[in-house]
Formats: sequence, structure tokens, C-alpha cells
Amino acid sequence: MRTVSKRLEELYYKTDRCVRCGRCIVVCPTYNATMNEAMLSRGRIRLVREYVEGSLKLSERLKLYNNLCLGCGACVERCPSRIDTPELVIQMKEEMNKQEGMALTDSLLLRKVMTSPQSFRRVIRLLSLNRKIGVTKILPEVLKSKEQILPEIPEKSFRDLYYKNEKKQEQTSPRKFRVGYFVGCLTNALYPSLAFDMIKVLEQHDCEVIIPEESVCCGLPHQAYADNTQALQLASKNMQAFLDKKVDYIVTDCGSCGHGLKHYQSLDWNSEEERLRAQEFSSKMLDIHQFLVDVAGLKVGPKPIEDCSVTYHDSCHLSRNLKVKSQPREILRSIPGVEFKEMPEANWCCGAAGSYSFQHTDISQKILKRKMDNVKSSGAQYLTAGCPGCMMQLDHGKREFSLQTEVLHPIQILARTF
Amino acid sequence: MKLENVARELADSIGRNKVSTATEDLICYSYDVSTYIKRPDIVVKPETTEDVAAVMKIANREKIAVTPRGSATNNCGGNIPLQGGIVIDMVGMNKILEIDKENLIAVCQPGVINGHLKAEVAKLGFFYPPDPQAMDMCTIGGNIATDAGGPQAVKYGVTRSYVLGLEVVLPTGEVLRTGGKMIKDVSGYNLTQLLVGSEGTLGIVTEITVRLIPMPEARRTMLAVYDDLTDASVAVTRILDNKVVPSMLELLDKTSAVLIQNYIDSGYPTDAEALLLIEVDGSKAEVDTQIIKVRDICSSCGAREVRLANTPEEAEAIWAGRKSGFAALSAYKPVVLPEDCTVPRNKLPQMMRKVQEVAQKYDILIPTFGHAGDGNAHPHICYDPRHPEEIEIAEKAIQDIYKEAIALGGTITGEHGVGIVKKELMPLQHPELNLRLMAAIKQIFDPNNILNPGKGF
Ligand SMILES: Cc1cc2nc3c(=O)[nH]c(=O)nc-3n(C[C@H](O)[C@H](O)[C@H](O)COP(=O)(O)OP(=O)(O)OC[C@H]3O[C@@H](n4cnc5c(N)ncnc54)[C@H](O)[C@@H]3O)c2cc1C
Ligand code: SF4
Ligand code: SF4
Repeated sequence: MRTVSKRLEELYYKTDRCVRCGRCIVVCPTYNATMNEAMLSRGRIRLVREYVEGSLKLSERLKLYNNLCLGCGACVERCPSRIDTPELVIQMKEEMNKQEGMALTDSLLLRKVMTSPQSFRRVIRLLSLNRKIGVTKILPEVLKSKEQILPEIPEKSFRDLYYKNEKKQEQTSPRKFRVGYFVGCLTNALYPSLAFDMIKVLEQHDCEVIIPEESVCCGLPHQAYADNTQALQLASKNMQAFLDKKVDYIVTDCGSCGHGLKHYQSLDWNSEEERLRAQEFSSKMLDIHQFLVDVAGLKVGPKPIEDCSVTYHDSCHLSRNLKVKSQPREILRSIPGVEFKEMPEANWCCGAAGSYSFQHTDISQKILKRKMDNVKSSGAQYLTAGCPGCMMQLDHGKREFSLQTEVLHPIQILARTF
Repeated sequence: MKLENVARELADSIGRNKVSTATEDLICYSYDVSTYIKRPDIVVKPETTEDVAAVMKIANREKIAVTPRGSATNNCGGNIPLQGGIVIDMVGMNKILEIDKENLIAVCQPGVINGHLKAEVAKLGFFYPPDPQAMDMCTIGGNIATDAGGPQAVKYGVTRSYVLGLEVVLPTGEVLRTGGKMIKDVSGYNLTQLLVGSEGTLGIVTEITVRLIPMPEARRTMLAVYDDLTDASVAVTRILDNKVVPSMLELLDKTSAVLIQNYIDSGYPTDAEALLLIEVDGSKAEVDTQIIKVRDICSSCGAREVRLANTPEEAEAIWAGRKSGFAALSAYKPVVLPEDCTVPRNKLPQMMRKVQEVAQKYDILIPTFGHAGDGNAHPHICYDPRHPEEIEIAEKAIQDIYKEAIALGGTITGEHGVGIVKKELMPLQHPELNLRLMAAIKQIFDPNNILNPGKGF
């Protein structure tokens, strides 16, 4: 046996319970896209076991296979022993980072680009410029080849519009809830109109909406790449930004950010005091659909919307990690004029999984095709998802496979009624 | 020739992306559900029959062992490359080639998942009955090789009953075609049926022709609860005596009912000694009269409670428990060996009692459930490999159980196969003459003994 981190060792012993039954075959998207056992939960577990036992060396291939896990968690639900393969994969990443450091591009991306919404946005803008006029020698090669995944980039980000150009509305009468709205990097850069719809819907639900300018990236990418130091720093900043404002709830429109924020309480904090604060923060955090249906009491506006059919894609983080499945559907079903059409395999990962679609385009593409086939078979005019990461991938799928379906967030449809 | 040269020749002949010798890949093809692990030297992933034939020609010339693999859900060690060599992974050949509505026939490649074939033919109103409980993940190729069956065997038979024709690559690399779309054919020895259940030791299946039947119009499920295991076993015989053939007839003992109910809420009582799960199917009128008849028989045999499922959802919940049986036990202990003794149906009560005695003797839990209508019981031996004393006891218990099964005129495996796991038990069941004939057949198909060597007998 090698000496590995305590967490990895713990998980290793849990994998004693992988009986190799193959039930994960039914749900693992990477296996179904490649038909390769190394791309299956059962295979990934075997590889980690042999690594920990010392019969397998660290290699580029091992790294690749490990990194190719989407972390979607579909296998965990299906596994009789509830083996947490996504967590195992993250711990294995950490182990590999420790052994030989993080790849330069990964670490650049994580430390420089993905820490604040605005620097993330600058890179995105560069990519879109590249698409328009083909400038860039400065972009890392990894990013350049992937820019077709991005949708049309709006001229201005949400932050540009909200803090600089628009006069923030002052609240007049006191409201029932004081709600902090966490605007994630993707909503900010790619879907500013979603953010404005969020504000509108929240206000219609008797909320005072607070959007702290100091908030930063939720840190999920850093958690996923096992960059614990950065993850802690980002979490501290966000905790301060929101808790200092004394909000009742913190809501987000992004399943992935929601999962990242909820996870603050389980990060490896240095002091009990910080851990308690993280617990307070995480307990106030709710996904928007959850907040509207379970806390605020859902309201639908008076404006009629034209008859349309809508389907819904379950984001992995939203449905499996945050367990939000019924609320978005309930919202869509309660809008007059909307016919809700469930698609087959609604909770099958779309292949976005954070930066996955940028880094492993081939497999991501195959997974996406399966999703788009299912969307098509639902026959719906609108495709909704509770996560801008999924929306970006689905938008790309729509262009790639020439679908007419328009991609939206459920809240955007709800906002049309007000 | 050195192995790396063989790998290079394989890559040149079928394509580089279909051949790997990377350690990480070899590790991923070194296991199945059994407790054995052994790395192959080369993994190949053919996409066509020609690919398979090319691989076999090279392997036969070089006398390198080849082990076929589907979804690796068998628990007898069938996929373990005992001598290293090549593992040939068939899951990439996964197309349904034809569903012939006029002849009620489907033709498919070996990597097609059983449940996928079922679903596709059901869309056209047809039924492919063989239903191993791993149907959502196991392949038709694997099913042919192990002659897989499931709860519906009591009425509809096992895989064997549906296979009409095969395309098989022999160990020499020659391509054999047997049978076809005809329902009747008495010309010559039936090679198709010889290949079904041959556990990948005679040839590699590359195409399969199966018979379909019309989907029954209706089905109805029932759960009968017993305070005495023998009463439940008697009820099984009584139902069949009374000329009702249920489409499923499953028996669960108390230990398994408790473990399953803890794992997934299926509404199983946890204080009963035995449960019978019964489904009847057929025309609507038939189903309605049969289910009443079965209910009355169950009651007259001492059932403490009989529950009829009133909706498809209720029925599904009852079966979900049974289907999760193996999963539920896996959640209880890290190693679960589903033993597979089958006895003449009327000997089932004796067999079940023996299992209980063995459990008491060694002071262990042996959850037992199985296809009561077929006399097929699965006593599950569960242990933790980090406790060597548990392994020792497990081995003794297994021996005791199989001695009893043979004494009752039964078999060492009803549906899981011999592989490595049951090899030593073969002489217990088969006279020397039978084994000699089997060896001779193997010799004709595979003169160099390269296809899945060391398995079966
Ligand atoms: C949870 C669970 C429940 C199960 N329930 C049942 C059950 O109810 N009934 C039952 O019968 N079995 C059951 N099984 C066992 C298993 O599912 C069957 O044996 C199944 O037929 C194996 O299919 P596979 O695709 O996994 O084949 P594999 O396990 O990969 O292979 C099985 C054997 O077939 C050979 N083989 C595979 N493909 C080919 C091919 N194309 N040509 C030639 N040989 C080939 C292999 O060499 C091996 O010897 C269960 C297993 C599990 C894990
Ligand atoms: S479902 Fe779980 S126990 Fe079964 S093979 Fe997959 S990881 Fe292992
Ligand atoms: S987390 Fe998703 S991609 Fe990773 S092994 Fe599990 S099912 Fe497969």
C-alpha cells in the first residue's frame, strides 16, 4: 500500500464494497459514449484501487481516465453500495496534484481566470473576438480550439449593466424577505437577461434583492480540481460579502454554483469559527426554484403567454446534489399556456460538467448528441435547464444538431408572466 | 512471436484504436463479478465479424489464449483471462440489425443489452422473454454463452428456447453460420443449441437470430406471506399442479426479505418466514380468473396474507425488491456469492431446509431467494474478505449446500455457469463419460485450446 491522504484511504476502504455488478453501466454517460470500461465507474474504482495498492504507477493515461469522469453522480444513485465515485475521482486528482503539481494550463485557468466573474468574462470576450476576427495568438491553444462551444456573447455583462450603466432601484417599502442573489460567472458573462429576470421575479415575490459587488466565483471549479487553498479563499470572500449584509436567504439561478455554495460547510476549514460561519452560509443557500416553491410561495403573473410546449433538463448538480427536481417542473406546469413535456432521460448529463466540454470535446459531443436526440423526441419548443452551464452546452447542441428549440432558464419563462 | 509483436500485428490488421496494451486498460479488463482478478496482455475491441476472425486467426497461429467478454456481469469467472493473452471485448458490436415483423424474429449483434432489445421489440408489440435480473446491463452475447434465464423461465423458458440461429467465429478464425429464421429444422446435429451455454469456450458469437412472441395483453402481480417456509414451497407445487403456469413464481426467505426491505421499501413484511411473489399474464379474461385461483391456492396452503397489486405501480414496487436482491445483499457484505443450485421442483422444500441448517451450523446469514417454479434456489454466501475466517466458513458452507443439491438429483448451476468457480464440482455431478465427450467436442472446435481455456470442465 502507498501512503495516501487520509480521505483517499478512507474512500479506498469503502471501495471494498464495489461488487463489480455493473449496475453503473446503465447510467454512466462516459461509458455509454465510449463503451470503454476505463470510462465506467467500475473501471475507475479498479484503477484507483490498484494505484493505492501500489500495483499501478501514476501516468498520463491514468490522469486522463480519472479526469474524464463528469462527476455527474449518476452512478452513485444506482450503485448498491452507494460508492461515491465522483468524490473518489476528486481525491485522486488531489493525490495526483500532490505528486506532480497541477498542469500549467489548469492552474492558470483556475487561479487567474476563474476566480472573479469579471476576469472570467474577459477571457470569454477574447474568445468571441477570436471567433469574429480571428485575432488571437495570445490565447492558450487549449481554449482556442474550443470557442465554438460558446454562444453569442452579449456586448455587456450583467455587472457592467447593473453597477455601471443602470441606476439601481432603491427599495421603498419594506419587503417580506431580504434575499442575497448570487450571480455566478456564467450568468454574468453570458446570460445577463436571466439575471434581470431573476431580480424581477424575486421582487414580485416580495423580496428585497441584494447583489453584493464583492462576491466572487463560488469556487466549485477549484473544488472539482482539488485546489483546496483557492476554494477556501473564495468561500471566505463570498461568506463575508453575503453574511455581512444580513440577508435571510441566499439564492442562485445556477445548479453548479448552488452545489458549490452548499458545499462550503464541508470544506476543510482551519478553525471551528470559520466552519460555523460556513454552516450558517450554506444553510441560508437555496436554489431559486426551491426558494420560490418551498419558501416564498410561488406566484405567477397576470400576463398571458402564448401557448407553447416546454421540456426540462435536470442539471446534475441541481437534481442529484441539491435534490431539486420537482420544483422547476412545478413552476413550469403552473404557468397558464405552457404545456410541459417530459423528455426521456431528463437527468442524463448533457456533458457540460464545468469546463469538461472545453477540455474533452470529443466525448462531451457524443454525450450531448444523446441529450439532443431526447430533446428532439419530446417535441417541445422550449428547452429549459436550471443551470447556465447546462444552458450553454444545450445552446451549443442546438446549433450543432440544427434544432429549432430555444434554450431558456425556467425563471425566464416565469418572468414573462409579470 | 513476442506479445508486443502480436499486438502490433493485431493493430495493423484491425486498426490501432481497437487494440491496447496500456496497463490501465489491461487492469480494466481483468475482472468480472467473481472474486478472481487477472490482467490480460492485450485488449481488443472488434467492430465487425471480420475483426473477430482476424484476431482469432492470429491468436490461433501464435497459440495465444483469447477470452471473450460482454458486460462482465457473470459471477463464475467466465471473463478472467487465466493465461493472460487477449481479452476480446464485444460490447462495441451493439446494433439491432433487424426486427422482422412477419416472422416474429429479431437479429442482433452480441453487444446489444438485453433490456434494450426487449424495449425495442416491445415498441412493436413483441416480447423477448429471457429475463436475467441483470437485464439492464448484460449483453445478448453473454446471455447466449451462459444460457441466461430469469423469473419468467417458469412459463417462457430460458435464452435457449429463443435462439434460432448464430454466427460464430471459431477458434481457428473460420466463420460458422448455424440455423436461421426457420422455426423448425431437424437437419443434422443442432450446432446452435450446442453453442448456447458453451460459456465462450467453443466460439465467439458475432450475430444472433432470436424468436419473439406477441406481448401478452395483461399481467397481474400478487404477494403471498407465509409463517412457514415449507408451506410456501408446497404452495408452489400446488399452483402448478392446478394447471396454472404463472409467468413468474419467486420465493424469498426471511433473511433476504429483511435485507431487501432495508435496502429499498418494497412493502415486504420483515417478520414472515417466506414470501411468494407471483405474476400471471395472458389475455385479460385469463388473467382475472387465474389470479383468483392462485390467491385461493396460496391461502389454502396457509398464507397469512395475500396481497393483490391493483395498479402497475404497485406491481412494480413488489418486483423492484426482488430485482434489487443482489444489490441489497451487496450493501450488507462486500462479497456476495450467489450460489445457484437447482433441484427437481418437488425437492425444493428439502433444499431450502438444508440451507437453513447450514446457516445455523456455521452461525452465518444465508439469504436465499430464487426461481421457485424452476426449483432454482440462490442461497447467497456473504462475507468480508478482510476477515479470513469468514472466507473459510463460506467455503465449507458452499460444499455442504452443493453436496445436498446433487444428492437430491440437482445441478451445481442452474443458470450462472461453471467458469472457474464451479469447475471442481463438475465431477460431482457428471460421470466420467459425459466429461470425456465434452472434452472431445472442445478438442474438435478448438484444437489448440486457446478459447477461454481453463473454464468449464
Ligand atoms: C445483479 C446480477 C443479477 C444476475 N441475475 C441473473 C439471472 O437472474 N439469471 C442469470 O442467468 N444470470 C444472472 N446474472 C449473471 C449474468 O448477468 C449472466 O450470466 C449474463 O448472461 C452475462 O452477460 P454479460 O454480457 O455480462 O457476459 P459476460 O459476463 O461478459 O460473459 C459471460 C460469459 O460469456 C462469454 N461471452 C461473452 N460474450 C460472448 C460472445 N459474444 N461470444 C462468446 N462468448 C461470450 C464470456 O467469455 C463469459 O464466459 C446476474 C448477474 C448480476 C450481476
Ligand atoms: S454499481 Fe457500484 S458496486 Fe456495482 S460495479 Fe458499479 S460501482 Fe461497483
Ligand atoms: S460520476 Fe458520472 S461520469 Fe463519473 S463514473 Fe459516475 S456516472 Fe460515470
